[in-house]
Amino acid sequence: MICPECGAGMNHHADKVEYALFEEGDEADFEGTVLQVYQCPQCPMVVSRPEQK
Amino acid sequence: MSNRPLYLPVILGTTRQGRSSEHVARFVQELVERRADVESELIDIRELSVPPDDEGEEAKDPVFSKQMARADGIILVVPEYNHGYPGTLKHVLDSNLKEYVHKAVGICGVSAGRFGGARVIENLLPVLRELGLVTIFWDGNFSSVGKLFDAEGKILDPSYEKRIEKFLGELIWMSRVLRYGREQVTSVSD
Repeated sequence: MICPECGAGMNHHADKVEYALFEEGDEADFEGTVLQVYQCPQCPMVVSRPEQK
Repeated sequence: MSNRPLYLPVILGTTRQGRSSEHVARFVQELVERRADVESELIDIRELSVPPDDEGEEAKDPVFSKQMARADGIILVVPEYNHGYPGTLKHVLDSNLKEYVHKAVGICGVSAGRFGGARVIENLLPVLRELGLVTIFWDGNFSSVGKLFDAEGKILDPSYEKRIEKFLGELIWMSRVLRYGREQVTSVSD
């Protein structure tokens, strides 16, 4: 993941379930969507995206 | 690790008129500002725009989200209302998620009685954990808040400064460690 703010490579430091994003038909193992959370090491940018299956 | 100053905003967690917690928030924020290599500001949830009938991305106040993304740690100043936390604070906190993950949080409980918001702190811990925040083991406990400040908002009991300095020391340590982790230590969940 590249930081959209400064272009540095971001660190994937956490996976977090977002229950509010769960919709009927989604993969139900976690009863929510697993978000990968990324931190930019150069600027305070935080980005998340659904876990890549 | 990046060398920008730590950013530790203080969130004033009530919108009520006549709130004594505002004195507490200003007192704590002043102590944070004295610390070298730490930046802070007071975030008053009364000034945020989070619609009461929506949630998640749609409900976000963009300025608040940016502050939370920038934050390395958060200080919550929370009054105890009937042993619980203000619903408005919960609604504001719920409007973000990724912005909080692996960040430190410390709580300053405020109460009219003797227990210094101990019950609201205990009630808030599981909420903060689910938001991805990391709680510290020092708290601020502001008891008998109606008698704790003079009319100008100056604290009358000098012992609070010493205790809050300890609280801030732990929060800063945890914030530094977690920033290093967010920036340098990759998830091992796969």
